[in-house]
Amino acid sequence: MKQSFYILIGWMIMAYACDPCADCGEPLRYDPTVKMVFINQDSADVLNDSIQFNKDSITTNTALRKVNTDSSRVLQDSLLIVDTLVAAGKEEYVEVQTRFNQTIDSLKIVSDSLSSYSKQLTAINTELTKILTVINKGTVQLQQTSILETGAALIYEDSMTSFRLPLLLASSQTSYQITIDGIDYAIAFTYETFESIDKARVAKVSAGNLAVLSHSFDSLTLNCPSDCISDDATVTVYF
Amino acid sequence: MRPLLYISSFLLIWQCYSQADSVAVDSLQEEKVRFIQPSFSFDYGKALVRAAGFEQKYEGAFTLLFFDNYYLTGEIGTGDLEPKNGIENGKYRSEGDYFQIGGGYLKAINSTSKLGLGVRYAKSNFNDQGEYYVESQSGSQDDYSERFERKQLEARWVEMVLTSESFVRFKKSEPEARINRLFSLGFHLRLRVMSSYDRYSPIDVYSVPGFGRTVNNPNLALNLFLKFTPF
Repeated sequence: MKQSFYILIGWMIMAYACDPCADCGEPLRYDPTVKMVFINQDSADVLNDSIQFNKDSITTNTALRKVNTDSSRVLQDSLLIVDTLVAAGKEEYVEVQTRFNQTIDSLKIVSDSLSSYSKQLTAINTELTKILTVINKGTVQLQQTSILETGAALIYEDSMTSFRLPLLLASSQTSYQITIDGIDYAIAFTYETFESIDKARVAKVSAGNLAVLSHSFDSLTLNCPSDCISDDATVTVYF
Repeated sequence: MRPLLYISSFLLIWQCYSQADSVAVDSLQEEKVRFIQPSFSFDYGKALVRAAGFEQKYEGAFTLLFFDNYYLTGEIGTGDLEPKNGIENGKYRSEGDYFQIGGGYLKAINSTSKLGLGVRYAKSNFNDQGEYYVESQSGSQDDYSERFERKQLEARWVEMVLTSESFVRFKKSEPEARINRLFSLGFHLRLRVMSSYDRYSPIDVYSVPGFGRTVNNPNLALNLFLKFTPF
């Protein structure tokens, strides 16, 4: 009997040590969020225009080089005749021969310049296209972001393609001021909070029926599955 | 809940060991069939769980045994449950009373031990309350908590009960001594099936006094009891 009692005590100590819920009761670290993607449409438009302008210049250069090449061939054909005449002792064609040679050399220089210029434009377009790709991905750096209702500053140190802005749990509206490249923008959301508990018995508050109340961007699109629930919603803004 | 499982399983093994010991000194003897035998029992398993500081539960029963084989029983109990994982990021508490009535068949397998099968109908009246906490991950807002409290809840369920019990022999040298027939140790292995309870959404009732966790349905449970048979 005494032995059984000791076993019981040992068993209880072991059972207590194996308690799987040591951190039960600790708060859940969570904010319902809305995913934001920022597209610098103005810059993208300028870049697109520059790229197109460069492409047009390259096309013009190509056409000019073709005219140059054709002119150079005609002159070279004529020069063959002039060379024959000069070789036959007709000294009056020496000056013409010299001019033809100078003109052919000039045309070659112009053609090489046009070729070099086209190569530079192609290289510039390659770089501009890379920048455009980055802009279209939404990679930006937010200089300052704050929640207007609470005055809380949100820190995003790195450039990113998307940002998760926290929605206030104890409110049905959250407004933000966002500074990009020294320009302030504003956007406000309305939503309805609701509580839920998952299979792991973790209770949380989410935001549903998310909608944009107002904004100062050029335009935006709100993309979300049914019921527009926080964490699933993505807002793409163009500025 | 795992510690409770360990304790229960250990106590069950201990109980079986005690019963096996009783069987070893068994001496089969004919006894006169009695019309009625009242008895009182106390769930000492729940008391031990309480003593270990886990949950507050008490349960007792009054039983009438007819013709040594058929019984009617009424059980009452109270529970103040605070399952740690009722809400992982908060607290949950359920407290209330319950009763179970039923009957069954109890068969002596030797002069000291009995094995039985029965059914119960049970009802619990209880209150529950809870609270959960959310801490802002971004630090941009105050910590959030929500509290709920629901009163006068009701749950009903039925049970199938397998019972095993053995007389405690205080005087092994004198098997027929009256004191060897006064107390029994035993266990009920119960299969509980919930028929109805007050449901809530999104945070439903998690624990019902007398039944256990509502997420487990059917629910298997073990009761260890000490029975006193005065007459």
